[in-house]
Amino acid sequence: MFVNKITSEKQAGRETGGSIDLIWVNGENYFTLRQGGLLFGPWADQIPNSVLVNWSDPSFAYDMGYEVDFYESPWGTAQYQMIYDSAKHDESELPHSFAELMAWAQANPGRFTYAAPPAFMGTTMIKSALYELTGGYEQYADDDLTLEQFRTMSEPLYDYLSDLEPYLWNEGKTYPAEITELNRMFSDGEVDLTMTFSGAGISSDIQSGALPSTAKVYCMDTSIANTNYVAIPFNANAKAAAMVVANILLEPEQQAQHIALTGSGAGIDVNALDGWRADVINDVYDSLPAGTIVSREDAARTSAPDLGGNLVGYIETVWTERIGGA
Amino acid sequence: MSDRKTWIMLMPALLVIVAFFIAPLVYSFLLSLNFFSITSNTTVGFQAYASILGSKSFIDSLAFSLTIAAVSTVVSIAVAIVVSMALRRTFIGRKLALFVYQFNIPVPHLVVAISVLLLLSQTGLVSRMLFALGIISAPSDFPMIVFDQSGLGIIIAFVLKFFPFIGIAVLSLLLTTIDDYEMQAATLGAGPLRRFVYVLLPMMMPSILFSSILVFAYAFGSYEVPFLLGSTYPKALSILSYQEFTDIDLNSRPQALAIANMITLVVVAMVILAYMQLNAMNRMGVRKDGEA
Repeated sequence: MFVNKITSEKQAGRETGGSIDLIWVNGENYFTLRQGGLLFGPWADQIPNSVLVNWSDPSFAYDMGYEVDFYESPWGTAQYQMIYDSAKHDESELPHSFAELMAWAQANPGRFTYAAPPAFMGTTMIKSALYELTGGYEQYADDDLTLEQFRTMSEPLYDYLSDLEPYLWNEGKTYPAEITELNRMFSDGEVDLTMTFSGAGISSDIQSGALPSTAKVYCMDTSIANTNYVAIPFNANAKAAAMVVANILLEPEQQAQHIALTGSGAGIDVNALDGWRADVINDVYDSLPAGTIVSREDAARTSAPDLGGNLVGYIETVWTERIGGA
Repeated sequence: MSDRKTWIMLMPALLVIVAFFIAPLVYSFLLSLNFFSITSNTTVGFQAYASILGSKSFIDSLAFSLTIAAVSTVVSIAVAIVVSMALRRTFIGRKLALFVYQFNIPVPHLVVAISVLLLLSQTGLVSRMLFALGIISAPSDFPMIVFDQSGLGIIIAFVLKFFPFIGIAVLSLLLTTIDDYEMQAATLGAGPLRRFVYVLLPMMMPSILFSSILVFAYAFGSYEVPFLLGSTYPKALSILSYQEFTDIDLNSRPQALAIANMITLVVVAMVILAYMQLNAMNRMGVRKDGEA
């Protein structure tokens, strides 16, 4: 894990000539790297393609609630989606909100589960449920939020998860440790739903065979969305070259390739593009098979910001206390 | 051979052990005390140890890891003795049986764990066969062997790997040194049970003890098997350590290393106990090579 590598280099006092020049980060990694003083910056507003980025949008200016401060440059975006098998179910009969999920799970016991925190997908699903069940995300945007305050505010969420447990796979006695495990269970037919965070759908997963060819996605009514970035370590050997790469990653053709090949969403502001630049992006979105990507309108309607590092820690701690513990 | 020559010949091996074993242990200990911290929290001390010893999840994980390691070791010893005793006689297909017996040894634990997963999970081969035969009405009716909170799947995977390992050493003893003594006891009129309890078992003990330490230590610190086959809670100690180490908060690292050091401590304690027991056996006159 590159965070370990950079941390070791800092602990060894290696201030120049580091082995990594550019890293792909977001959220949790970004928090750790800033905490250890491990990034070079600010630099992201100085590259030419920075004008294509919508820095006034909080989902770009803040990475999981922390100020980006131009210490990293966007590459792609991602949004939480549910995956189902269109050969077995119709989208209309599946739950689109967590309230509906409770009713659906009671009618279909043992057919749903989620990856246990600290797995990223599990924590993200719980975060989405947190926003829906406790009245929105704004109340969690405060950096000074304490664990005690969180416990009180999140009670309805953990009551819900507790009530949901008996209807989950294996009656909630155990949860898959990673999303790969949940995907395997979905492909094997042990559960009916799994989840993903890719911003432009699952066509790449279907092509690689990780998901069945009839798999499709939809957004829950509250879907967490966030941006992923590239950053430069404090001791990078070729900082200028790294910035050039970051610039290239924001080029419309590169963004189009990224969308088509990895299922990531666009890091640049597609609505502000015109002419050939807009065409390149629109073409690639149009080329993805229907159902494997949610429409951009749906995505925008349901998206909710991915809030900060402390929140993730609190969610994991209280989940282990109330649900995952003995 | 002079003393100096002996030391020169030992040097390379000793250097490797110190460089790749002792030095990292010392460094890990220092890190657990929060030396070399790069965050704003730079207080050095035993607070990481105090924190984990007071944490319920650590105590539960410690108990869990100790239990599965102990159960795996004991079951493996029992199975190893039974199978090795059976393989002493010549019978049709013995060579094939011996080959199958040893087949597991070079197979990595990870592969055995995945095999257990593919065979015994609720969508595994055994479950699907029983479902196809109509013995169970749905795959989810198959008992939860893997991912069970008791760690049953983990124990099965460990036993499958460990019993041939212990068994081979026992079998080779049974076929050579012990055989002579058993013959003598038989000619002196001892029945099978007396021979087993008073001749075979004591002579197998040093070898069994040796392999058991290795087996216990491996099971106690193993990561990949509990990771693939374990449940959400309680987690094996190595998994707890890894999760703390990869926590987004760098301040969790001293705790991660404290847990890792506790694993080392337990294993070292087991080794010391085993050596004390071996020495006691030596003094009683039953030595490892079987010479009384």
